[in-house]
Amino acid sequence: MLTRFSDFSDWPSFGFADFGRAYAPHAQLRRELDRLFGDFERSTAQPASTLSFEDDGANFVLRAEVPGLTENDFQINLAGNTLTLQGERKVEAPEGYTVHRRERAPFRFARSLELPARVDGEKVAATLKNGVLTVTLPKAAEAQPRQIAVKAA
Amino acid sequence: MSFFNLTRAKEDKPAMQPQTNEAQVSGTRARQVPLPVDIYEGQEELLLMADLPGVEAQGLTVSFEAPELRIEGRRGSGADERVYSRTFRVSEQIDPNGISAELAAGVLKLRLAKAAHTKPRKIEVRTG
Repeated sequence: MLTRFSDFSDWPSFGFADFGRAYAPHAQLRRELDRLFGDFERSTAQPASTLSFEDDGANFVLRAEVPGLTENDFQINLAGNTLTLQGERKVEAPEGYTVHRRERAPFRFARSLELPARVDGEKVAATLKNGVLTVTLPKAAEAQPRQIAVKAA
Repeated sequence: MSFFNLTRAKEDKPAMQPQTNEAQVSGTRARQVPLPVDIYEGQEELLLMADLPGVEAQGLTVSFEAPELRIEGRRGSGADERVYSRTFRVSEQIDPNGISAELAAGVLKLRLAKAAHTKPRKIEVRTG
């Protein structure tokens, strides 16, 4: 991803530390997402790979495992660079049935997160298939990766 | 065996219980992921709900060979392949022809009809 020009001014030097800095927004987002789904992950015996966030160059792709939820159980909003996700799963025993085992936890999340670069709000798409939510956020033109040709002087 | 092992009040043994020694998934090095389930018992059937996000119907195998019920789901391919698998011991008498499975929104709903003779019956009392 591209770092804004203003960020260059306080870079101390070109070392590996700088590389880490460039990815810092991702680490921050990852922590946000961990918190977002924290309740869900804690509820199962082992934390599952319930969530992923990828930068495939042109898009940010957020995937969340949300078994049992339907389209209507979500609210996804984008305001500027802030993505807000809300959803809830209720788990109720069917009436007249005895409960023998209950491992599928109900969960609820409501979280806003700051995206590391501007996205094209018009082209954001969310799909739900087989209990997996995929939110594709195409980056705005100025945040798209560009290859810079080096010209001989 | 686990902290969420709930037994029913009317008798000591649960109707369906996960096996402690999970069978190894044969011929795969795919990563195993947890497969949480809910198990309910009604008058006529046992109902099992399982979270299998990302699994399509063709990637799911449910088999019953008394007393073992096995669920195996696969999703993705190559390095991204994930396997969900679990085996249960069913102590309740089940009608092998009365099992139905439905997969929607990444949740499997499995209904196991109890064998006729285990269903509760009401005995009419006749007056002489």
